[in-house]
Amino acid sequence: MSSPTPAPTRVQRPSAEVRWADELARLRERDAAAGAVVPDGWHLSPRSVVDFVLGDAGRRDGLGLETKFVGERALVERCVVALATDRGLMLVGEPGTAKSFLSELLAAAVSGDSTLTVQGTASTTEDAIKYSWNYALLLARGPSLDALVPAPVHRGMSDGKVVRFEEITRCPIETQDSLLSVLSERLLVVPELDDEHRVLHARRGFAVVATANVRDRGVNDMSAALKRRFNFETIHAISDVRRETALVQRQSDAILADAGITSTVPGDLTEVLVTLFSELRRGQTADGRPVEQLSTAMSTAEAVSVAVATGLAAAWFADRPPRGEDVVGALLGTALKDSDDDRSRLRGYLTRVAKERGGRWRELYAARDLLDG
Amino acid sequence: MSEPVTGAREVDADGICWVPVRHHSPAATRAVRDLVERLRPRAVLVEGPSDYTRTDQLLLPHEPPVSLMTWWRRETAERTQVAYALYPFTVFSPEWHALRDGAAIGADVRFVDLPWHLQVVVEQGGYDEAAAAAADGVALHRTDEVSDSFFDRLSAHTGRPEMSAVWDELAEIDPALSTATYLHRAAVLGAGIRADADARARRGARGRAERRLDVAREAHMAAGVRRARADHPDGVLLVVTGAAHTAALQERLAAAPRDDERAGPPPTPDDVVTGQAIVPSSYEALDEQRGYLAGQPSPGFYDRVHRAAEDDGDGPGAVGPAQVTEHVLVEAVAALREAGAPLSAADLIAARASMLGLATLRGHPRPWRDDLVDALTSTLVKDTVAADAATSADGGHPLINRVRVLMRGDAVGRLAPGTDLPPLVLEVEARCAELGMPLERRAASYTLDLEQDGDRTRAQLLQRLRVLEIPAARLVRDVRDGTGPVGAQVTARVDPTQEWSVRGGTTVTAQAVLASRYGASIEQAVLAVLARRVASGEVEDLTAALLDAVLCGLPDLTGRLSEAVEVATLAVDRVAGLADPLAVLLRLHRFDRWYGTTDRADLGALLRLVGLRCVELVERLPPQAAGATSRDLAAALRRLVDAVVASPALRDLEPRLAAALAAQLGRGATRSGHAPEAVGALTGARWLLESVAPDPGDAPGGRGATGGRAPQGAPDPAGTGEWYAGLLTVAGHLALAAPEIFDPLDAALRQWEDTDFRRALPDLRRAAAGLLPRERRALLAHLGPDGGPPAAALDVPPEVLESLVAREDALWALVEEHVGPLASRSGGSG
Repeated sequence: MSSPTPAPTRVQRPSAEVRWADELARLRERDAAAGAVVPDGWHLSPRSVVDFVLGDAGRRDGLGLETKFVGERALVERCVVALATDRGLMLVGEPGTAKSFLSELLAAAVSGDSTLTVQGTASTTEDAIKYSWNYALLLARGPSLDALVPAPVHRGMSDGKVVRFEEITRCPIETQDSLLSVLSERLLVVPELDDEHRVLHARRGFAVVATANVRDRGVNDMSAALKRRFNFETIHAISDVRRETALVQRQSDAILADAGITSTVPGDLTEVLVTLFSELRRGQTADGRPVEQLSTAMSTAEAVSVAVATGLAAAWFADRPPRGEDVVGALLGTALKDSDDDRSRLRGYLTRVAKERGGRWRELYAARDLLDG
Repeated sequence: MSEPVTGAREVDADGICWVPVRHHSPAATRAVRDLVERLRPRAVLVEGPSDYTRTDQLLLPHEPPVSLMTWWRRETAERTQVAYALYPFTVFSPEWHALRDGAAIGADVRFVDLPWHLQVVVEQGGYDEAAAAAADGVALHRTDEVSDSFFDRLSAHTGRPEMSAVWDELAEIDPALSTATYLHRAAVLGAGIRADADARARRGARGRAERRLDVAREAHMAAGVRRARADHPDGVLLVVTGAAHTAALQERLAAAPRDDERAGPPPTPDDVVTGQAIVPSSYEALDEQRGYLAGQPSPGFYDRVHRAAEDDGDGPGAVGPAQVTEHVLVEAVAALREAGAPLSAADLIAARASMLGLATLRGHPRPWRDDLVDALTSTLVKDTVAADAATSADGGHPLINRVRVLMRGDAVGRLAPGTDLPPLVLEVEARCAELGMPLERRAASYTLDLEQDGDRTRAQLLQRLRVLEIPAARLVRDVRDGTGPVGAQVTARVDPTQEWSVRGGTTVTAQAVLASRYGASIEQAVLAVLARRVASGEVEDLTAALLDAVLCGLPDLTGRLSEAVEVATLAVDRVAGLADPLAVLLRLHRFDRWYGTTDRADLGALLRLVGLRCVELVERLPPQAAGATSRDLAAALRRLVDAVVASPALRDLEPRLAAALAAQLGRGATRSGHAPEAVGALTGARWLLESVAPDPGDAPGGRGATGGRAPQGAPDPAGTGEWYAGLLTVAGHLALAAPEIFDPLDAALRQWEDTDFRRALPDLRRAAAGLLPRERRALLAHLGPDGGPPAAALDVPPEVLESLVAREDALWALVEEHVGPLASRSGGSG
């Protein structure tokens, strides 16, 4: 029903099942060869879903799967089991922790399709969630299946696929609660249709993966009845500084290259930047000294933005490789929002922590006065 | 991962059966018990301090968990050092059963490890360096090693990041794991860990230091094994050691003795005295020790696993090995319901389905504790979980914490009758006797004068016993130091004496034995207990712990305690929250009479930490609402200003504080949103700091009163009352020093209607109530002669007065009938 997709190389951001189509194919072959149990309606066995999401680097019997989501294995296992036991899956966390990306990977692996997505906003209505009507046809021929325009939940139920609901808590509670009967009874009633088509029973393989951002509305704006039908998983920022540094370096290099900048942010500067983010986020230094946290999330995504801004500032305005002072300037613009207290806290961090360390840290400390400007 | 190993020999060519173990492992315990039963060894050699010869003590019918405490004490001219280490034993420790089962079949049971006081020498190079590092009571069975290349690959393969979880996957989860398979896997794991340690040793100094210690210990153990072989030339020797040592020992025994084995251990210096004792332990203590230090997460869970394996489902109430985790699930849900969590049967079903699903996905032969915790977290927790939930002390979420507490268990060990007393108990008795307060059956009373050195030492000892919860001493009457507001002496009656009741007896001894799990000496134990209290992170606990530390006469509060203070103060985001610790520290640092704390450097440092934090919080003060918030702020500002003015440690903060106060006041009433009481308090604080003189123009309506400036109209009555309440809470003595600040109020009062006056009255009354009599008199004198109508003299006939007094007395008697005796009441005259 959708228009033909352009070839993957021309698309800005291919969906996961397209980008990693060959990995998914290899995993299917492996499942078939090993006789692995594949739940009804799923494309892969639960084990293969976990391997797809996390990759299998370092395993002797691995298929060379790329690490896509950086996180704990136990977390991904719990997510998969939630989907396999017919529970909804709710991914909550600070902004920038890759919740949506994880939900995309899970949908791609389980159903081979990550596009059945509802984007939650304050004006999302049931039409965008369940179904709406082609009003011309409706008026011309009356209610019929042809006149029904299925929305993601309808499609997911009839095809037995995973439906993704992004930022569910941004929707009004009444709209969210329209999922209640879908999740409990696994059926959808379309009263306008005839007896044969009135009730749509979900096919096996149907599941809902929702995400919620704790910083905006949070999960307090969800009814208890709906919460009960979901398994909650908290997605945290990457705890391993080395892995986070590698991720930030990779992504900032790619974005700078796209912008036509030949130089990149030097590795040691990226490491300092990521360490700063990590320590401020956790509220303590690597050796356990307490640090006052800022009011912003200090997520990995913001670290990437700061790294990119650093690279751009140095390339466009200073015509030299990036330095510590560029990082401080970029922090002001991107990570610190409108809070004076945050500037004071960051200054405190630079004075208490950065000052004592050598190398690039000294450059940051030397630039602390930029925070007062 | 489940290939049964056949054909591997349990006993090697020299007749030695090597059993690599992880300490506190039900699987290792099963293997050990099986081997002892089948092989009937002549000698059982266990990794433990070889200088401990009283194995008969260890074999008494104690109830685990208990620990073997080993300590050393060194007296030099400069100081006395004491340090201790613990070898914990639980009901599922393979060493515990190796010793007992071996003794039961008549085998020669021995410890073969290098004694701890010598390990200290090898590791740290000498006793002078050693004491500082070992003050925390190192627990010796090192279990969770640092990751490295072998471990990284194993971790990637099993999908578990921590050693204890990896071990579970290899050895614990499968209830039907054969001894042969166990031995094979444990040996491979041990060899791999050892290889990683070798790699670390090649890379850096820390790795080399660890290696040096391991090598020294293995040399000693190998020599011990050879000696046992010489003593028992026939029959099997069973050697139970940590898995990482087994391969190294096998290598040594396969060849001739090396030089370090022949050389023997370093000698013990003459000024070092060593000893061992058995002390009770607890699952709580075991659970706390993580990572590098020995310990076992969730010991209560492994206890059940062990008992289920022993009982094997026989007998009433017995749980079979496959059902252990399901039983814990049911108990966990019951515990959560009891704690108030609304969990339905549907929730329990969902949790169980998730648990079983996870176990299947992970290839577990039976559901395991991580399957259980993950399932409960996923299905029952409906909000965010902290990032470090797996390792943090509180589990990251109250619900998970409750489950963790359940799985930790609360068992506390008990020593069998006839066990030798631990060193702390002996020290308690000795010190009490030495100081002239022997612990006897009959309680004795002692009056101690804190101004005398000897009595102060006695009081400190008794306070230490109190902190350790040893009921040997009870404070019957405390000192009276007559202080009111900081530094000001309100009454002249000062009594520096305390009255204590001291006694001994079996309860006292029993509690002292229990307290011995905290340390080998009284001082160490007190430090450990206080450090734990401080670690709770609550500021109230912190203040109480600091006070106790001073009462106990601890010489130095830096180190652990000051780190904990730093963390706790950074967590506080309201000035009011720090008022109490600040006051306590100030009093101790500046005004102490008896505890020897005045001007002590460590207390000064702590005072500075807290004071600095308070100033920062004033700089960042959010809008203060009327009511309790403003009242608390006023009280806190009073303390803060007093501290800054009175203490040299904080004097240099004065300009910064003054600037902060000015900035807060300068925000303007509308934008800052501070309630009037808070504004009054900030104004008072500013005036109190010497650099600023009080200005009546700052009072509400003040501009109008002094003339020549733009009048603001009649000031709002309610606001005025609150403003003065705030002001006087902070700077009451201004009534004495600068009574002209009340002139605007005086002027305003004349303009108000009755209703306005009534509205302002409660707060004005509150403001005035805080004034001292002298201040009140000065104020009246200032306002008096030409202010307002003269007070009409009250002319009351005596019989009316008498009946009024009688009525008042009757009312008070009625109140007392219901409420109980009142502390004081002024009779009749008011």
